[in-house]
Amino acid sequence: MSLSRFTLPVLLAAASAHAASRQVSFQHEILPVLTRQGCNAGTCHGSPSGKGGFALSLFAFDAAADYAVLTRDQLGRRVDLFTPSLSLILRKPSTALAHRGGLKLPRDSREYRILRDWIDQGARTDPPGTARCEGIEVTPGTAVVLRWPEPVQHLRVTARFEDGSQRDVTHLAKFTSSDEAIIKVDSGGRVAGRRRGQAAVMVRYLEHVAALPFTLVKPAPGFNWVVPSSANYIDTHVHAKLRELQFTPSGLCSDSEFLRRVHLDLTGMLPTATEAGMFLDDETSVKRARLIDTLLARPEHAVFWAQRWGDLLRVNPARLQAKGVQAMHRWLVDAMASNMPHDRFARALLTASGDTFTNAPANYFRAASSRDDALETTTQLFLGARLACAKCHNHPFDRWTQDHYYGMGAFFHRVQRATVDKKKGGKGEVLVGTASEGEVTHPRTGRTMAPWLPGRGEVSVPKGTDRRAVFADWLTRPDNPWFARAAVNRIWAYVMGRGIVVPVDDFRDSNPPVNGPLLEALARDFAEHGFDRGHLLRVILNSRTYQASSRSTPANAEDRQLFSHYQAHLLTAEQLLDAVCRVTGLAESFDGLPAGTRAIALPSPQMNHAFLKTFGQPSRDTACTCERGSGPQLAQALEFLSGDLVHSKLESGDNRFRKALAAGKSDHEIVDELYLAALSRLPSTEERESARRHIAKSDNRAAALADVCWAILNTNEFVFQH
Amino acid sequence: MKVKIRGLVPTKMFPKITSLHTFVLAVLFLTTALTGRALPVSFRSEIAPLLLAQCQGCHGAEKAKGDYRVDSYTELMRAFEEKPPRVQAGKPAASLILQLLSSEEADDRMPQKSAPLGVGQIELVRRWIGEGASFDGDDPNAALVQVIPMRRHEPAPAKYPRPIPITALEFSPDGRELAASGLREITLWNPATGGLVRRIPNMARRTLALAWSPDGKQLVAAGGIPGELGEARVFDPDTGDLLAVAHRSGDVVLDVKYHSIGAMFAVADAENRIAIYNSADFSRRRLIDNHADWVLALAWSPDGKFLASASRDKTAKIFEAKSGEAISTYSGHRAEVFGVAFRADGQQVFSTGRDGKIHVWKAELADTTGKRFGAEKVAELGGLGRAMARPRMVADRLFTHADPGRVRQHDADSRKLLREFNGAGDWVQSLAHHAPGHRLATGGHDGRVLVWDTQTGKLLSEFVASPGR
Repeated sequence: MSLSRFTLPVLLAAASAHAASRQVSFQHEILPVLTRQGCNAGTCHGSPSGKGGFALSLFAFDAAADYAVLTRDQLGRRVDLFTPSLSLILRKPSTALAHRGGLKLPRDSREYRILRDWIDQGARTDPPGTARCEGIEVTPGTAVVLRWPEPVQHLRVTARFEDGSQRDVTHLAKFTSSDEAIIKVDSGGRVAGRRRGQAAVMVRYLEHVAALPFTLVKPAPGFNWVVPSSANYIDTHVHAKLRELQFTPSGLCSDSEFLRRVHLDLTGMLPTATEAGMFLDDETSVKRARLIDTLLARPEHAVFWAQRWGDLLRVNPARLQAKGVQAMHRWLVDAMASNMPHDRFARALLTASGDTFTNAPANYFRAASSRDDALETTTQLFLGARLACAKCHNHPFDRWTQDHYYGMGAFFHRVQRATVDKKKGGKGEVLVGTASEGEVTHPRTGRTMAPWLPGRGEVSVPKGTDRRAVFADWLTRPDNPWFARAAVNRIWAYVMGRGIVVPVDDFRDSNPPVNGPLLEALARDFAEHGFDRGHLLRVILNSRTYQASSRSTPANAEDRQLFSHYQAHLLTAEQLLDAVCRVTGLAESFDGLPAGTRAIALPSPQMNHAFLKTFGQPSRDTACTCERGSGPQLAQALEFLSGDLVHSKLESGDNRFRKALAAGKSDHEIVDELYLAALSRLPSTEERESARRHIAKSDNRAAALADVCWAILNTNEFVFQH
Repeated sequence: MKVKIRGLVPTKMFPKITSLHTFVLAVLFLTTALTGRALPVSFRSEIAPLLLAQCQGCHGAEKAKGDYRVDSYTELMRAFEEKPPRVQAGKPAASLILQLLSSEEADDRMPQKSAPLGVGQIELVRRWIGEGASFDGDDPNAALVQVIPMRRHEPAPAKYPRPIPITALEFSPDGRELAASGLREITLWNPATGGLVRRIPNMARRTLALAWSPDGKQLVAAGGIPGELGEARVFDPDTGDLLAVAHRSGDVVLDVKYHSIGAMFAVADAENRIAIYNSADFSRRRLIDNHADWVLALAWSPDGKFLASASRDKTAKIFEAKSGEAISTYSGHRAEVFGVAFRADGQQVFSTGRDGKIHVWKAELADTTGKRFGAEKVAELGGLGRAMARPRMVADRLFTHADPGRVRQHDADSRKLLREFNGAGDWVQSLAHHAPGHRLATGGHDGRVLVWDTQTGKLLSEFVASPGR
């Protein structure tokens, strides 16, 4: 007893003396420790203004500034070279002195010792010529499948240095799980599964980031894989993933469900009662495929998909003026109607010049009114990458650095925008063009940035060449891995209700696709078919996966991301408004637009329309899909229960059921017509019976029918796409 | 005395007991061990230091979590609405404060999100409450830091194991001595030879600013222990006697400036305050609690009627010394303001900040009605680089500024760069200027002091201001 009491401190002292004999590296040990302990996180001292007057760079991207702040700033108050343990950077996070951030550096931790030893050695920077870290490798290096009962994996992180040496930095790396409900990872790199699913572990050491995807397989009781039929390669990939995770796909949806689903996806509108009746009566086996082809060719299809692009391209009068909006709207509708290949579409926008009122694509650079905006918009729309973080610091969850940001910015730096206002004899149009010179300066290093491309590095652009054209060439090459993936994921998400990568424009190693092979196959198919949007839609919509029922089974209820069953989602604001108009037979009128204009055909958002606002119509201020509200809200339920718009349409003397009454139709006929118009199906026997009883009880047929119609509009079956 | 500092550094050379409460605990342990029976627990020397270090951060005047403050004895004992006081004198078990300190549940336990207090520390609180939770000081309303007994600081090491960063430097009025910051002491050097003249002990761990009285009879040293204690101590520079601890705060005192006539001096601290003291009896004339963040530097106007301040709250201000009223605020830096100085005619103020610029603005001293207004900018001088060190500006006929490694002299009227004094290999953390002797001294983070002739720009001497180096 007494012996061990004495040996322990002696051993500790010996260990610390040993540790202190080697110079602790500021760059390779201290900075990673600050990241690992969370000191320089965005919510703490890594925020732009720091915390408590102590500001570090976010995840240590600015080593020189951090060194100055730690050792020199405020008269060197934070380190004590004479008694290291009295240093503020040790006393505060170990809570020897009150620390608002709490206990971040326990006195008995290895990280505490590293910091203390470094101060003890004089809190010095690394000697000149210290080899830089070039990258990290995480072992195991490939996608990992973990299975119960031992869903555990230990990660090891090795850093590679420019002198060829390697070092185990597992104890200095920071580990983060992309989904704590699925996997947990501790600071030692031990990964443990919590439930079935997929998630990634992100590893950070200095500016190097690696992400490792994990699949967690928990045997499902009674799981028995019966090979489902496949319509095309989509089903093959979806089924492979489902089988791996032991989920069983749902069966096919009914004809009426398919009819309503595909009409909404391709035209934005409900099928008419007549269309519904005809499709349901059609007995041919290929009627679903035929309907897809028919709808793709409809003008409403072009109009509806033009609205989707209008959202992303910020087509609104505040940015483009009314004339610009009109030009852009027409151009988008034409592009969709002619099924313009996606590469040509992107190139037209990215290289546009001239008058924004007459050459519509030039509005791309009017909406994106600065170099940084153009860069961030372009990468988000066409590469599926959110670069904005890298403007001020290296991206916290991705490989993008500040150098990349300004290197890519060089492609858009020379774009010029000249407004021709009344004084100059114009009407407020903007002339877009490019200057023949002008370079980007890196705000931190002051370096002039050469144009840089992912996967290519710095590129030299001959004098007199529009740099944007060079960018567009690179972007739309069939072997560009980002372009096709970003496009197919977006289109997939529109019709499936959820992307293979979510959010659809946030591709990162740390945010892996839920089904990588599926994404690859779609991207390849898209590129091989000349970026043909129509072709891709046809393949997706004909798949069994798209046509799956939205009803889950006990064998797949837990799955929300692998497409085992169709994910029901709320109709968009415009779809819903048109649907209400369709069911009630009463068109909505909009400011300054011809009567009968449908909401999905609006060239720009109707900012004063309460119904559209409530259901998430975006004001088109950003290039982010996320601007469109999609979550159900209480205000939306109230809008249907008692809102003005629904109420006035139900009360109107000209609505569908009042006209039908006037025409002498029977209750039975009118109820059937309402069901077909709203839900694309006939009422069930019980539904028909309860409607009949309600009307019979009432002494006012019209009012009773209004109740029935109101009840139909308030079903989930109506407001959801399923 | 140019020294290379490398090689084996014995770290265990100093007494281990340095932090306040470990010291207290050690004393407690010793007294208990020696007498066999413990002395009554003292609020002043045992409880107050604990509250200050561990609790006041969240339960102070600035941020009172749970509407509970512990920054004075009165606040600690206060009952809140109908609830019983957190401290029930004589009844430790019934005292909420003790229950929270010793809770097993991390979510309930105080201090929150922190390592629990040591068993000995909790026992101390238990005993103090059990013994009646009495106050053994003069003013129960006084801030904790004022209540804690004045400390005698540990002696400085005979020889320094490594050079100490020179964070404060000041010439004696006759120019013959240069006072510098040491480790728990002030060191006095011969600026011509670099020889150590004298050492003044019993200073707090760090000295961040020094000021001589115009007659050379007093030397005020401001500093403290970061995050724990701030002090301005007044010494007799000849005998080394401690004359007074004029100012105390819960974090360091950052600057001190003697009034040109010599009847008073002003200090600025990391509790956002400025205080003015009489130099005759060290009584406080005025406490100015106007800034929203640390006050980093001060300057008296040439006529001695106004005081300019630079603050981490991104403003510089001018106060009327007599009333303590703020008469002018300058916020043009949009960044921390590190230093201020008046031009010799008192009409303009120079300030420097983290924006790396010198701003020149109108002093507007005529308005003493207490009405505040934004001061008008006259000029801006850039090109200081990523300045992070606190500059010291001396605005006599010249005007200098320090940023990492470089010291510059500007002409105060034409604002032209007159000269650069480049020789410091590391950050310059302090500047001293002796106008009659045309001497400029710079103190580096690497411990080196450089003395220059400001007329010729010649480097006169260079030494490491650390005894034994």
